[in-house]
Amino acid sequence: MSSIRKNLFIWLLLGLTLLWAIAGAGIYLSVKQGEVAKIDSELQRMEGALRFIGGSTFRNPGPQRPDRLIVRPPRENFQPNENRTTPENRITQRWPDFLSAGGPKYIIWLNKDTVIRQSEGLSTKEFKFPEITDSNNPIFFNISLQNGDSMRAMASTFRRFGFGRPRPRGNEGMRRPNDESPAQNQEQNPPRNISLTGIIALNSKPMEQTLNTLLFGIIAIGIVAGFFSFSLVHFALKNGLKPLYALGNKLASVDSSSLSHRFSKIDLPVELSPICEHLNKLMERLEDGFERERRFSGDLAHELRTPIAELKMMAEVALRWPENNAESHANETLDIAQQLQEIIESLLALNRYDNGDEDPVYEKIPLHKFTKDCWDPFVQKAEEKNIKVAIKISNDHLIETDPKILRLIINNLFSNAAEYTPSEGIIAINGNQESEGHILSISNSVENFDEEMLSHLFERLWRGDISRTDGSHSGLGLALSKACSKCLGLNLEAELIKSDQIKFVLSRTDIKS
Amino acid sequence: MRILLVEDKNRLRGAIEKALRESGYAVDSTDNGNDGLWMGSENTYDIILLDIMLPGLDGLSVLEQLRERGRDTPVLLLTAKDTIADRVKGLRKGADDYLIKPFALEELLARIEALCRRSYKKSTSAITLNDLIIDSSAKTVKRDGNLIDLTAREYAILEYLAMRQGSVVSRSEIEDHIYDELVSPMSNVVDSAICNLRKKIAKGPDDAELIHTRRGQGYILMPKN
Repeated sequence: MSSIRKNLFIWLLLGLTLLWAIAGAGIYLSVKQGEVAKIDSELQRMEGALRFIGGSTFRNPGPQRPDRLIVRPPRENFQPNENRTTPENRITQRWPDFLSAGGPKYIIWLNKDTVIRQSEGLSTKEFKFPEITDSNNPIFFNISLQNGDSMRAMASTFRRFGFGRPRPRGNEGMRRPNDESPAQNQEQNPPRNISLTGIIALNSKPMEQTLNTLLFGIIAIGIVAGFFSFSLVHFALKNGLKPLYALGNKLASVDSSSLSHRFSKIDLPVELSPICEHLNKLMERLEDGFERERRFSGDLAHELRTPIAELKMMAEVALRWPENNAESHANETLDIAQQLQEIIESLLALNRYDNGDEDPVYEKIPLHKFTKDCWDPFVQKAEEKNIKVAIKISNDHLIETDPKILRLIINNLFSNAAEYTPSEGIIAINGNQESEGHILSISNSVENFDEEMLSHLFERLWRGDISRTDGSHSGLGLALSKACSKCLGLNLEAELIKSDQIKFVLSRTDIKS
Repeated sequence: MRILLVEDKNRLRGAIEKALRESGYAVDSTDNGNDGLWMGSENTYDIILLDIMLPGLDGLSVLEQLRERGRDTPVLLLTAKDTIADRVKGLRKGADDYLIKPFALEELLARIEALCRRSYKKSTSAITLNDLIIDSSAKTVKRDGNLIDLTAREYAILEYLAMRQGSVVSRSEIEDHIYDELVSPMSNVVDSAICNLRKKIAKGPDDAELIHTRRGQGYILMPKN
């Protein structure tokens, strides 16, 4: 069975987990990006040193001037060798951390096959010649060293200006400085304007350590947040669904004796308000249904128990104090038996028609003649009460129906009309051929009848006479007529006209709908 | 004892009425609530048998109005309504007992006797006065162990006097409780009935009377000193 709470719990937990994961990943990536940018910036800063080293590699000290041309600096300006601006000194001055132990590794190529300078212990297998398409933009990448370390590297190309092939100045006058050749395989000085390629790399281990620490932190916080989310979702759902449980408990406590109870919307959340309304309407219908059934049971009990009580009492009295009026007793007993038989037969017929156990046999019948025949048994009663009867049905009006069932319907309606129309009243029977779907309407005058009574009219065993004194009716006639109409696919309805006239209309259901 | 029966079903009313008369009760009956209320308010009855579903005014309303008018006559509801709610409602409106249709005649009579005893504060069906024993259940009277043959009316008078033994009962009270509205008692009917009763319950000509006359007041049933 699906559970709202379970579903919400799963989805909320998944959603929160996803949010936490996205947040964690976001933090991690942004920090990583920052750290990488920091290293990249550092690499860019140190690129100058790389250029310097590249440039100084081919620096030609120039031709040795004759001694006579040497102008010695004054002694006071003479600097010792260690203070003289060597390339290393210049690097140390400008990039103090370049030549330190933890400083960057670098490598400079003249071309793909010619390395002109590299850090000590650097392997060319790890630092491969980069393919740089845009010389203006250095490229950044990571390098994994064989010892397991990783480095962040920047590859760039740069030109060497100003120093190149020495201009010929005399034949021997020019010579290269002593063996400080930057590369063993450099046989001759490079051209004056050449392009060098270099890689400078910084150890990224500190960054990775920082990122790992951050990752562990995020995971730890994620686990704590997961537990917190679990508790939060659990608590929120428990509290959020409380009104639903409360409503369910209230509903569970409803039984047949508390159907008059209505659920209050005052303390309910807005979402449950429509449910509450529907429940109240359902309760109303249930209450009506139960009330109807209760009334039916009570009425049935009365209808059956009273004649039985009469029979029993009459028999006991006759046995205890015998009299010589056997004929009178027999007649009374027969009346009671007849009354009971009618009730039971009506109930059984009602059950059959309600359940659709009767199969109508359709045939065409002339409605005028049929109605006249049905009315005949009630003519005398109508005359006794001086009731005006008007039958308006055209002679050629034919309808296709089951005459047996239709007779049952019309007989009950006529019996009702003849019984309850007051003296000097009116009964009008109309078969309107022109009105589509309309079959027959019977209207008659009534006294002391209201809308509330109208709503119970077709209920089983309902009688306008609350005391149910008259034993000639049981209150099943109209309910039976309604069930028979349903069986024939017809609709039987009653309406109150001008508070002193009731009208029963028999019409076809399909046309009406 | 005088009983009012309010029941709208003619056949049932007729049968109950006959059974009660045969059992020695004076019975007035009607078939609607309005008449029932009027009769119950205007006359003195020992018990009222009341149907609930009545034309005019329903039984519960009759009962309610009787109680409002200060009538504390025991009421036995006779009805086909059998639910607990109906019974509780009837009893709470002031009914003393509730009998569901169909019922046995014996049960009806037994309940009527029980209500009579309760209203006269008697715990058993036998009323003893020295050696005179009146069995209100078997409707028999014995003196010194000998069964005394009494008419229904004589028995009713003796039973009524026995129920109120020690108290003076006026002639009109006897008329109210013993004769129903169909009988128009002559002024000497009660006196002659009492006279006959004295003769029948006496053990001999010299036996001291149990029923005494209080001149201008009525009769009193008292044990011998």
